[in-house]
Amino acid sequence: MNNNSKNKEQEILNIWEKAGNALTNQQQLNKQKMETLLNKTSSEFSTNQKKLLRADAIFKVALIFGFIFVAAFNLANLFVMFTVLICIIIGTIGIKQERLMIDGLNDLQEFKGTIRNQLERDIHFYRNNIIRYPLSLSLSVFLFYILGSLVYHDIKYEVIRPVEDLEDGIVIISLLIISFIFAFVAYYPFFWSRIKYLNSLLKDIDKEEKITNHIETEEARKKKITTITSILIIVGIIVLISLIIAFL
Amino acid sequence: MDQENKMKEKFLDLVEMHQGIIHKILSIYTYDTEDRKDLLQEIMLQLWKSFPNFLEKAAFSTWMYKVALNTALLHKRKKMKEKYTVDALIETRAMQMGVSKNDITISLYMAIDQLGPIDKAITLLYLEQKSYQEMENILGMKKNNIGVRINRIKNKLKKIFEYEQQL
Repeated sequence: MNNNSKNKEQEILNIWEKAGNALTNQQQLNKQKMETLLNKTSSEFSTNQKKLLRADAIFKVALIFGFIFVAAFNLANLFVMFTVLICIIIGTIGIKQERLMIDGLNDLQEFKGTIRNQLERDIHFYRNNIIRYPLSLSLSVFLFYILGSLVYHDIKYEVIRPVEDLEDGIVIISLLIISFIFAFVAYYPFFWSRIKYLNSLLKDIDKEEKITNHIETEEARKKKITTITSILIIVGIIVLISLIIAFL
Repeated sequence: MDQENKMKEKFLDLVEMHQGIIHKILSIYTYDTEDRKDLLQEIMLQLWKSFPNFLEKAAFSTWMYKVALNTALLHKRKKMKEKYTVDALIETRAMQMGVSKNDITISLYMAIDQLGPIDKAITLLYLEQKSYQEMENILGMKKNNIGVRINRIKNKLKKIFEYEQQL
């Protein structure tokens, strides 16, 4: 019985080896083909995220130049100077955060340790940046809205003034908050779904061991993040309803 | 520049020598030519990016298993069940292997297809006759856990394999 099972196993090992050799001979890679592959661009998740972050950082730089341009024409306007200064600070912080995330993604792309170590590194990175990532990207929408409003007022009224009418103020600030929340909610799933997938792999590796503290911590964190996102959505809806009521 | 060329040359030599590892990984983690090309490209890029971290004292093949398997696990695959029927999958596998649809090799691959991504990695290493110590170095799982897992996979594969052969 035991011998029979061993023979069967050996038979399977032989089939595997034979099939492997056939595949290698069939799809032989030569150096030229390998070099061609090395010159292509990766389409992996981390590379795509790096591209998105880079593009957004460039967009933020363009927005900062836009703010400087608006300020140059309104040097005597304290309101404009103050708004521009705040926006430039926010934009610079956003760019800095995006650079940090790009560096982190670069580091992740260099495989270190075992597959388990690498999965843990990946999860650690995405978990640490799950709020920072959508927040930094959403700031662009926020800054774009403000810059657009400043340019619009400058062109239409030739002067930029703080909002005097309370209703106008509520509308502008509400739209700003809503656009920010929408952008945040749109970017949030990127890292979230990645963490979910990586966690499923890590859980699979850990299947034979007791559930680790790591997973428990992750679940507690998941709950916290879901609560924050729910609160943000509820705030957005309340603001939207208040707006509708104000208009009615 | 010269040093980089030398490093690239060395890298290509090593990959060419151990390319069987890549083909075997591709064969169990992909289901069609397009997916295969994508994963092959990602594995090559990932190996090259991580090559400066490769320590000469470690075996190149072990390091290659680690990087290539990790890339395969993280690669966004098309879901085969949504894309193919069983018959179509058998046909694709048969074409890929250059064997008939009734060949025992197809039954083996079809059985491996039923496993989850981590179980596939363990199965591959087992079929490659890696020791538990090597598997621990590659996967980061404890040796005794690997043993338990292999027994479970063997039983699962046995059932699937026998069923596949009855069909």
